[in-house]
Amino acid sequence: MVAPVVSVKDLRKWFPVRSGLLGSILGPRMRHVRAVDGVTFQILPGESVALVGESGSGKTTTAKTLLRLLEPTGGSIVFEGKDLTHLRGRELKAMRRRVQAIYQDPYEALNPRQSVYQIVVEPLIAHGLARSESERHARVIQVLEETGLKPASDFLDRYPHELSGGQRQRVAIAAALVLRPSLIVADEPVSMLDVSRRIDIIQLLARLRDSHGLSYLIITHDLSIARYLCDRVLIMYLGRIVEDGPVESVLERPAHPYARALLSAVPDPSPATGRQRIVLQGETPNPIAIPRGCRFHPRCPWCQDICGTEDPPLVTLAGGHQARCHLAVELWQQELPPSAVRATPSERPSWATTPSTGSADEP
Amino acid sequence: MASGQNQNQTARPKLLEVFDLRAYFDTRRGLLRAVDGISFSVAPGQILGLAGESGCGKTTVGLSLMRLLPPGGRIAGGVIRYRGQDVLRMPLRQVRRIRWKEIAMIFQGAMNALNPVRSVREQTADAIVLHDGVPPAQAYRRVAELFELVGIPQGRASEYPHEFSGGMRQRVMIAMALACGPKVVIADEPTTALDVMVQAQILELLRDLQGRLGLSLVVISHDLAFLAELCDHILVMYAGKLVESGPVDALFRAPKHPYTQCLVSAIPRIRGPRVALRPIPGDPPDLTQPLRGCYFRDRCPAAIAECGEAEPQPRPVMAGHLAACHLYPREGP
Ligand SMILES: Nc1ncnc2c1ncn2[C@@H]1O[C@H](COP(=O)(O)OP(=O)(O)OP(=O)(O)O)[C@@H](O)[C@H]1O
Ligand SMILES: Nc1ncnc2c1ncn2[C@@H]1O[C@H](COP(=O)(O)OP(=O)(O)OP(=O)(O)O)[C@@H](O)[C@H]1O
Ligand code: SF4
Ligand SMILES: [Mg+2]
Ligand SMILES: [Mg+2]
Repeated sequence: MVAPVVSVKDLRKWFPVRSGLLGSILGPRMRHVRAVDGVTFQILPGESVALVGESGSGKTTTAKTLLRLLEPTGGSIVFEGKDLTHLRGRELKAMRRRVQAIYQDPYEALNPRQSVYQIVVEPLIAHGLARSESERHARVIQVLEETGLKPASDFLDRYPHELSGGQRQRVAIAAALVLRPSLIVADEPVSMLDVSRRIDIIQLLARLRDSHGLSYLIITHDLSIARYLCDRVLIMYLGRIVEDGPVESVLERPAHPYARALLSAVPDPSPATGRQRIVLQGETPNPIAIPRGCRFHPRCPWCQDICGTEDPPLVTLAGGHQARCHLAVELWQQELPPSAVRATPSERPSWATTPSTGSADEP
Repeated sequence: MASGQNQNQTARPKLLEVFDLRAYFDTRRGLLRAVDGISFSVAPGQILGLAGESGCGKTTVGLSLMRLLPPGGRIAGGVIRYRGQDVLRMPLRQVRRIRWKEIAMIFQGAMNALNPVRSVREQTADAIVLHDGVPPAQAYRRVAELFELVGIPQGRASEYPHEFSGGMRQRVMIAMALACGPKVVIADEPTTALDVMVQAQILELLRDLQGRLGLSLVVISHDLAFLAELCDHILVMYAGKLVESGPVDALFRAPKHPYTQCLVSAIPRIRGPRVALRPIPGDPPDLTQPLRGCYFRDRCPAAIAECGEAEPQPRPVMAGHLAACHLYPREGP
């Protein structure tokens, strides 16, 4: 078996709730925002993994903890065989060279007072990687061209405000690539871009992955992006991975109710899909007060009595597809419509299903 | 050129009609033609989508309908008619009887610009007092009704914007737009930057409000898939001009204009076969530099000689469906 590039086990990141009203009302066990609360996954060399979930589910916190921009509360991170959960100083810096990040807003990520050359050369200098000025210059030119900023000489002296959104994101990618990392963590890398630019960047990321053998962790709330760029998808809900599987398998047969809802909510102009849209009401609950039992149960259209009391285990389905739900096997094996199961009587169902408006008429 | 096209959009009677609208900005680089000769109409109860790449003039169309162009911007031509009244030529006093009370707008990004030190209830009441001149007590009663309507729990009305998620803040913006009982609501990028589930919730809310209040909606978005789910009819803009206007089914099943075809094939599909995405090469033109011919021709995979010479005008390609492209020289079937 191939050794994973990174292996995250039972990762936790809890933020203390600052003392004050909330801190004094809540019992001692609840004085934390459990943003990441037991996350486990691996990424293989050359593999692209998507981390998908609602706003507030803990995606960015997972990424920042993985990058060691945040100190983990618990669990372990093993990167290229080395446990870096508590690394510090020089060793942490060496690892940072191998793991690079790209952010959602290229405008915020780039220093407005630095030229493109300065932005891209800086990581090389910081890590003392290229010995001579001419070597550095050559490396910068090379990565700019690799990211499609051609001819590179036209871009070297420009400043971020002189670039389009797509070009800025290319500069950010070049600055990440110049250190020749093995893993790139990208937090919503295309969500700020226009449709046409979005595809350019998706295709660029795919090309770089293939030519450099890169691994990706792509954070997105858009499952269709995951489909075009990733091999595997992790669905996150309230600090936990609730489904993990090959992207086509998850899209075709999502096993977790939350994955189903998320998938059904993605708008799609394809006519006559006849899908049922499951629009979950409300929002991700506050991670200070995580529901008992299955943490999704208050919003789950399939909720059973057991779900309110017992935390479901991670169920392995087939072909590397897993889901954390008491009904995972039933949901995965057959169509189990939400109406066929009983909602917890005490709870008013906080969900609704509506037929898709995808038109049914044929040409 | 503008007149005559509109009969084709839909057979319903019109509430709002726009003929050959032009809105320009005076900029340091010269005159910028942000909206350059656009015609369309909105029927009662219709949900109209306005699509196109960043900078194509969508927001400027919305602001023109409100007569709220920012400094430096001006209406350079055309007619906007609301229930037959000429909005562009009426005195400001009369505009105030229409703005917010008949036509309201949810501004792009405004949910991120709420006042951080006033509760959402206070801010909504402020907007009502400002737009409708009613006493505060009455405004607060109306806030309660509005919050109920848009799904903001009463218990949360006294919270501050930072305590609200993006979806809840957008509900506040929708409540403010509905405050004076408008017939037409323009929603500018109502779900941009919201996650998929919240986007679906806002979509349902807008559709529900349309049905319950009999509103007409003009929904501006660069997200075609979102518009496809919400709208009856879609207008596609490119570089300040209307390139296609059609019923939502036809527009996605059989887009006519090469630009619309590019946009539709650029949508990553989550269902059905995983077809390759086709990027659209190049960038939109600089709107301070008027071009000859079709503004899309440099990026167009189907351009013919004529495209460099004359500007194509919107022509009917099917019933209720227009395209401005030289590939469709004659009236369609
Ligand atoms: N520094 C912090 N202190 C306290 N709570 C935090 C902190 N950072 C994040 N949180 C909380 O942790 C939870 C997860 O946040 P996170 O930013 O990881 O979510 P996300 O999935 O990236 O969401 P989005 O899609 O909105 O970016 C949220 O409830 C957030 O409020
Ligand atoms: N206040 C202004 N001064 C000068 N030019 C402006 C101003 N507002 C808009 N423009 C220009 O007018 C054109 C149309 O802008 P508009 O905001 O209407 O586009 P849009 O389609 O809404 O774009 P987006 O999708 O980015 O919101 C753009 O080229 C823009 O740069
Ligand atoms: S365990 Fe129960 S509540 Fe949780 S997702 Fe499965 S069915 Fe829903
Ligand atoms: Mg985030
Ligand atoms: Mg706009």
